[in-house]
Amino acid sequence: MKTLIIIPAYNEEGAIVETIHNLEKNGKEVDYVIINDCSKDKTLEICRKNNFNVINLPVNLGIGGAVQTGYRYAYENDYDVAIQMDADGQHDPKYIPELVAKIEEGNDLVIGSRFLEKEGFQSTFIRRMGINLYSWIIKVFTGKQVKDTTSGYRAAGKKIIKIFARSYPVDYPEPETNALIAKNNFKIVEVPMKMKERDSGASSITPIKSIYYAVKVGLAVMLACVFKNREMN
Amino acid sequence: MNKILQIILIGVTLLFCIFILVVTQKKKLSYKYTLVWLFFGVVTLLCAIFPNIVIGISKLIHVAEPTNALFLIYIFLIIVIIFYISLAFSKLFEKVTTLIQENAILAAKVEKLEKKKEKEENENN
Repeated sequence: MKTLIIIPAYNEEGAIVETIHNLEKNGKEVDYVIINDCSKDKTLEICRKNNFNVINLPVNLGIGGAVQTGYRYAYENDYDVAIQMDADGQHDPKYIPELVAKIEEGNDLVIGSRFLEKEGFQSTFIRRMGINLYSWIIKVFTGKQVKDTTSGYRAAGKKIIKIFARSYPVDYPEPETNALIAKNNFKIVEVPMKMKERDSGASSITPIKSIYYAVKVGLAVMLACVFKNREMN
Repeated sequence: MNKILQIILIGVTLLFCIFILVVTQKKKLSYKYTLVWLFFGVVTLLCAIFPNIVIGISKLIHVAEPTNALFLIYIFLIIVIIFYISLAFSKLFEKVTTLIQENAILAAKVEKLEKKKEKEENENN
């Protein structure tokens, strides 16, 4: 299966080289693309210098817009599987074959989950509350189980690549898109994995902003759960 | 309604409408929005020329003072316009995002092709 790893990067000069080298060591069969979301540091220069495959966004689009660029790239280049992965070293590339295998089995979306075998970095208490809330909403409205609703380590099959290339949320896209995929009767499955704490860089969210995001994402998840999407085929 | 107030209203509204038309003619405003704002002007003009319209409406919606009815209607219209702008803005945001993404993908493709070409030329020499 033709597989693409999508790596959104914003100010990741400290981690990007190691992430890509890890990836190249672990998955020789897969292509990758770095989406540089108009980083203010030397991310782009480092990528160019090391001859990494990089797409450079001329203005900052935020995580959603950056990841969607990757899905567009995957769609236009006819990839069978697209895996999104963080640039900061949280996600271990050793899980890639497993994710691809799950897609090959006929699943549409495969989510790497921290909570199936409660191992590795488990996120903070507040974040876990949000994650559980979204998980509960999805369970109630669609009857499907997604435990790690905010996991940014996901693999998408061909149908999902097409959908994401066309439309993708702006910020905190994972819970909303998981709800959307679950609601519209695609096959969604989780695989257990360990995640590390970020190697470098810091989360940029202030407490007030996090409340705003929590409410916004909650609303988006509910809307995605209630209304069937007509753009889904 | 006071005659002088009426004359001021009519004058100002006419100026407003002329301004809208001039701006449109200079292509600074697209026709879509011209119509919205002209509608605003025409409604105000009608209310100024025939104050009975406002008095009738205030009775209809049970507002004691015609001026208050006028304010209510205007606030409502302004909210409608602001919402319309939000819609237009959201659509624009989506279009710009798509444009940025496609542009970035193309730029990466061009860069790759140029490198390949350079390499080939170097090999030929």
